[in-house]
Amino acid sequence: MKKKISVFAAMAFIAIGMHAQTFQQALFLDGYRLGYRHNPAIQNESGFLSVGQWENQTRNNFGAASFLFPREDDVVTALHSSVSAEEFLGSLSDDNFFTGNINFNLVSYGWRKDKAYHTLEANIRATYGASIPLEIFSIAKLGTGEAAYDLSGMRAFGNVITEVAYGYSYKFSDIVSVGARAKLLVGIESLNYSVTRFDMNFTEDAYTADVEADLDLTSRWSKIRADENGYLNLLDLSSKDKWKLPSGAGLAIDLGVIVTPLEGLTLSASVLDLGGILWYYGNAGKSEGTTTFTGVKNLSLDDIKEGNITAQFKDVRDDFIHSIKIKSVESWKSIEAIPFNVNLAAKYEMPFYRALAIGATGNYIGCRGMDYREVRGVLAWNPFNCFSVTGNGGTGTYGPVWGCALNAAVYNFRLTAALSNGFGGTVPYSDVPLKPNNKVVTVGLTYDL
Amino acid sequence: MRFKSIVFAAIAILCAACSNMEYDISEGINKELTLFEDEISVPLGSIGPLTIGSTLNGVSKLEGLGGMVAEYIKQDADGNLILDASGDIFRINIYELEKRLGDVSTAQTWNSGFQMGYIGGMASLLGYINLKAVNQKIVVSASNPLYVNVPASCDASATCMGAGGITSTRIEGLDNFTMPGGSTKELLTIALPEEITDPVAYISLSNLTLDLPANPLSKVSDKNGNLFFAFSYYFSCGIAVGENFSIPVSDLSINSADVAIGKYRLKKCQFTVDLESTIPLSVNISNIRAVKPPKEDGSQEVDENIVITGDVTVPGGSEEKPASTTITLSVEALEGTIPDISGMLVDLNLSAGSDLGDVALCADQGLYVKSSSARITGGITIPQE
Repeated sequence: MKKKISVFAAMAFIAIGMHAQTFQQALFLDGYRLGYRHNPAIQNESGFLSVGQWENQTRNNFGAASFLFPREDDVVTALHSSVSAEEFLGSLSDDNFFTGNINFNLVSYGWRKDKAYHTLEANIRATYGASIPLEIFSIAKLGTGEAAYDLSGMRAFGNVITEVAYGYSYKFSDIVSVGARAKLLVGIESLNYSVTRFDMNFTEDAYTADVEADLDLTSRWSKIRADENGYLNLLDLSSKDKWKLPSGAGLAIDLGVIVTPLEGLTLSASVLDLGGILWYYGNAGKSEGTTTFTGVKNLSLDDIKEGNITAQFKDVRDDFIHSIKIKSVESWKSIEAIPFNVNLAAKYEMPFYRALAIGATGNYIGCRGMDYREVRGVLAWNPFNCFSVTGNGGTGTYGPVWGCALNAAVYNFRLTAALSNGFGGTVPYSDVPLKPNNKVVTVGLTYDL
Repeated sequence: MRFKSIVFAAIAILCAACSNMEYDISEGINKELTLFEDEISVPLGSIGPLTIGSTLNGVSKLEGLGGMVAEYIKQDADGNLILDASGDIFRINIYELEKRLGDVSTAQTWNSGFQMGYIGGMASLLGYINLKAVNQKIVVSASNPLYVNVPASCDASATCMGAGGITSTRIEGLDNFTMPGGSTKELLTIALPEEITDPVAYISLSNLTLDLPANPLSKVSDKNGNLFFAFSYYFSCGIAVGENFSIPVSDLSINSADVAIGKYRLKKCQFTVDLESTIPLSVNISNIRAVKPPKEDGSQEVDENIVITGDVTVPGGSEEKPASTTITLSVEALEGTIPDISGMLVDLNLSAGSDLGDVALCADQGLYVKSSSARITGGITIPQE
């Protein structure tokens, strides 16, 4: 029964895996050697070695402009009286999240053997994020006009995994290539904090909070100790008697196909990250409780005169904190599916000037509650073997997007730098986006063998 | 040079494209917040019980007129509130007495005539504020400076004055008595009949005679001690309210309500209080007005922009029959927001609880705020500082 519950819980919170958007311009940037990540059917002309490619994706469905509002010579917050509720709350979603994904390539190696192309690589990937429901902002802005609020859906998560992948691509003919990559996933650490129930009831007589939250922290490296009452002390870690084993293990595959029906026209389709990972949550906890605040209790004149009201409110606060304290529960395992990634692309090289190409890409990331999709038109210029550049524009879940990529070679070294971003700008002198945004930065260096 | 200019211009354009200078927060953000713009209800909780006893016990000392009255009010062993007074009915120095006797070579009977001791203190004022005296008790004591017993006699009576007119009650037991030598002795304690609810105004001793020995001065027990023949009283009574009790007070100033809420820019607050009262007094507060902070010359005036409305009537109750009521009080600014309030002016009427009859006041009676809440409409502004 416990296992069944675990699986259901896992399915309910699958939005915590690897969901990085791959480098969408891979098909268009001729000198890019790690295109097989976008579509495992992509082959390079020769072998290569790559060390240290950095890919960073950040995604948020709300921006700083939801919380900051320019007013004449001033910038005010969303809770300023000059900002209407419609202006503030209208810019937010029911579930407001930000998430980030870092993919650091330790090493990649590719080699050709006849019509086949092999790749082998090892990566470290980290994912983090958090989400806050709209109701919390609504209460702060408007108050408690409604009696009952559902504040569940708050969550924070993060995980770190290593990935070892082997890819194989075979060119059946000049028209069709197919490829697949098998990935062995090794979980290092995973943390989920999820508020599954948070019912707040506001009446004149009482505030009632009914809270249920789960904390799942893997780690075979250390154990969070519990106090005498069974509550986890997050600051009390012990590594005694712990297995020095990974916290998770899993498999995933990428599948892809490249079709060249006409000379100069290339069609690409791939599905990435089909699979899952089994996490061992060695530190699991649950907080559950109901707190009712009815104001101060039997306050006396002395309490008022001596300032003891503060102490009474402190008691209430302690009650609430006690209700959300995390009690240790039995360790458990969970299979978590990995949000998948679907990529489509079409490239057409100009017959009059093959170095110039146009095309389109489409991308969908299936990620419960955080799905993302976009399409782009692409213009690529690959005039020399040592220089390629692309530019693109399109629209995504959060509005217009743009991107550019560059690949330049010096001798056998190739530098790739790419940026994909949305419009809307940032807060000056910072990297904080003003609008909902999806941003991917890619920087890498390869060596042609 | 031209190339550099082009590069700088390109960077500037790129930065401008990426950043929106309207959102420049490098100089800081205006942190003023207005929370709960529509409405918020806040449970304030329960208060009390605020008993008369706890108010009088000195910890939660009342101030002003209330405190002055409280100084005189005491509690007996049963927690009943009492007022008391003590004083002399008659006293005469032994030297003065010998002078009046003239020839003291033989024993003689001395008649002091009519003597009267007025009851002072707050007890005598009960009638003036329509309170009733219950459980009236008089203790008469006598003091004899001689070392020999002195027989004495008198007609003693207690005279009550109040709504019932003037009534005298004879104090039995002082027809013939002995004043023991060299001591002060409680001669008797009498309790007035329950039906007498007007407080005792004075105690009189008529035809007070002392059977004195010859040469009384030579029989003084301690010439450095007591040299007086004296009759004194101790009077105590409980306090009760009856159906005629009523104290209307206009423009009662509550200066301690100094509330600096202006900076929070509240527009409207409504307070709801569920009360239970065991005090046999009905309290009605009406015509509540907010007073502006004092001007430079110290004068204050009512803030006409603030409207305070509500039905603030707390019915009288008793411990056997507590009175429950819900009070609502609304504070609203006609224009703008509620500024600082320096004090309040109210009209107050204290009256006896209906259908309760005469109920003595005791320490356990009080008010209990069973629950209370505030509803704030229009937001609460937290200033930037």
